[in-house]
Amino acid sequence: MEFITNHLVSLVVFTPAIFALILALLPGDGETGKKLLKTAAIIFSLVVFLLSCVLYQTFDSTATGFQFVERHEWISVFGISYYIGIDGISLLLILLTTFLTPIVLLGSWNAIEQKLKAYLCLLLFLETGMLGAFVALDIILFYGFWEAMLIPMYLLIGVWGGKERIYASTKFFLYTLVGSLLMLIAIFTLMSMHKAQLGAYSAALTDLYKVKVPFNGFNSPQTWMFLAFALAFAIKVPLFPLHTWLPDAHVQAPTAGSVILAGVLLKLGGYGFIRFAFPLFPQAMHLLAPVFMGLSAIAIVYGAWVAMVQPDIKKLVAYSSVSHMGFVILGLFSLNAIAVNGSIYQMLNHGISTGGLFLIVGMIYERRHTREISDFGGITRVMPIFAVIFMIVTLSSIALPGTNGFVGEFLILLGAFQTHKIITIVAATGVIFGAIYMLWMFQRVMFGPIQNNENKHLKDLSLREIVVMAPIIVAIFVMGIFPNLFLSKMDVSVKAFLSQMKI
Amino acid sequence: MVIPLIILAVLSVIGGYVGIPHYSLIEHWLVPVVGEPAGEASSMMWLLMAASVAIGLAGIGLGYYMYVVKPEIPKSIFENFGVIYKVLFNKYYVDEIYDAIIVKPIKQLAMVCWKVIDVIIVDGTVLAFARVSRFTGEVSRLAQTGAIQVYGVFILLGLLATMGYLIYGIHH
Repeated sequence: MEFITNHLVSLVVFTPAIFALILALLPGDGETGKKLLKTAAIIFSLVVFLLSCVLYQTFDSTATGFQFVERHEWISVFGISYYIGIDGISLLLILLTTFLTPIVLLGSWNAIEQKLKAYLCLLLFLETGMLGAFVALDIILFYGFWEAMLIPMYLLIGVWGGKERIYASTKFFLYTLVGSLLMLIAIFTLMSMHKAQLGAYSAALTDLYKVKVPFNGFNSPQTWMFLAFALAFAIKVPLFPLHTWLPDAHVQAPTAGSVILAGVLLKLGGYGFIRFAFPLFPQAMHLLAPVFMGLSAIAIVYGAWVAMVQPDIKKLVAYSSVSHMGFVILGLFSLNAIAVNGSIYQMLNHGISTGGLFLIVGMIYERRHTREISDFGGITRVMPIFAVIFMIVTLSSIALPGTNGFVGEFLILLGAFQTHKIITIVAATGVIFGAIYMLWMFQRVMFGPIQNNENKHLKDLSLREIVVMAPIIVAIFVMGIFPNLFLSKMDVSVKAFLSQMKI
Repeated sequence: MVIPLIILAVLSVIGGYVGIPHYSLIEHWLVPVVGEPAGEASSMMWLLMAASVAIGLAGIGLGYYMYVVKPEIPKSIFENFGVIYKVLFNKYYVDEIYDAIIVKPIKQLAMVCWKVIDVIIVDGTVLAFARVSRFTGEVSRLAQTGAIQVYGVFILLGLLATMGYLIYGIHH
């Protein structure tokens, strides 16, 4: 028992990978074999979710600093160690990851016919990669997990994706890799600076925070290193104008891939800013904050406009991600308690609501094998349960009060307004456009007469599909009505983060 | 559709009374949060309330007279003041004006954002990087002829350059 409590975070991170290896050894032939594999994968991922719930329960939300810290020597010459731990911010993102994984596994029950075992294993490996990146406190360890995530996602899109899957997965891989490599160079520079200033190499984040990176205006090491980190994270978020890999990757990815990509992978960009780019280079961050706030306001409005005119539902949801993640960046760069809380909350919200939307698009695609908005219309008449669930998720995406989205967007705009009024006013129009593109799409897909005969006999959601959507619907309302369940967990961490950012 | 309208009509008749100053049921609802209102309800307020009720009642009365008591009036208005009738009939064309000056331009602008800015400019730049890489590869590929003699020439050139550097240094 003591072993478990001492290594709880390691357990949460590596259990999916171990389960993936077990899964690889299970027989998976024939219908029963496939059912066994799928059931096992879902049970495994539920075990991981339960473990992370234990983490949530035992996490002390009043304590400062990192908790559940584990540190073992690894490559001592360069000060690299297996160093992990969590604070309130990573705790919530871990919960989001472990919450979404069983949902997508159950969601892709019928969707995957080819190479089922590899698919399930990759999703579990991906979970380990994501969780590892959220808990790593050693920057090289972080980088390892950060890049390790790319491989399963690359394969998920490239093997089980749509028609243009090779193009989309290669673009996704190269685009994110280019950004990460510049960050790697900045990491090396930072580690040598640590040696120059403090006598030895170290990759531990808590040591690197102490390094004084030279700063005197724009053309100074700190600014360039901040930009190298910011490029990697901004591509992942993705921030305008680095977003064009996203619509391709999202549209081509299988449903589970889209959900995980939108739900968790994009959050790693925001998390990277909070954990690495901001506290390591605070002065550069302050210098460039107006630029990034401006870009995020553009992303919000631009993403919403482009989403508005998409003929394909999945692409619409993909561009809505650009808009929603713009809010996250806007809040982070506003750098006050309200906005930063809002940003982190918005990351969770976006994971839930956009994850939900991708699941919904997947369900309708499995029935009709099309995602063109103009192929639908009047679906409410034949799929009433689906209509209700779709409406709730839509309203959550619009950020209607009472749903989770409202809490996040409201806090961000409230906080950002104190930092930069004009940018916030521009960004706030994105809320209106958000309502326009979502409701307009909903109207064209769900309401009106049934124009297309193929839509007349669509089956409503099965019990399995309802079970897939139920936790998302519950999360939407719980997070909308009782935000303190989550805000209280990260309050201390956000305050600590902000005090790090004072210059 | 009539039944929902009846329900809404009844509710809207009752709803207004909830907020009448001094007799209001919700006047003090938010006091714990926002404090007592600064000003008292003035006579101006009562006047405005009375005026708007009067205008509303007059409208109902006029409508009743025109369409129930003397239904021939609308027809004669239509014949004598066709333009005004049409403008009123189309709600001052608010929807059409809104569509023309707000909805359509934003949709067109959004189309430009997608088709021009996103696909051609932003994504075009990304793909240009890919093309440059491919072009560089295709050009340097030409040097890989497989002919030993060519490689020998390059090795010789390299050797000469190195020797030159060692003898004269970089400055000469």
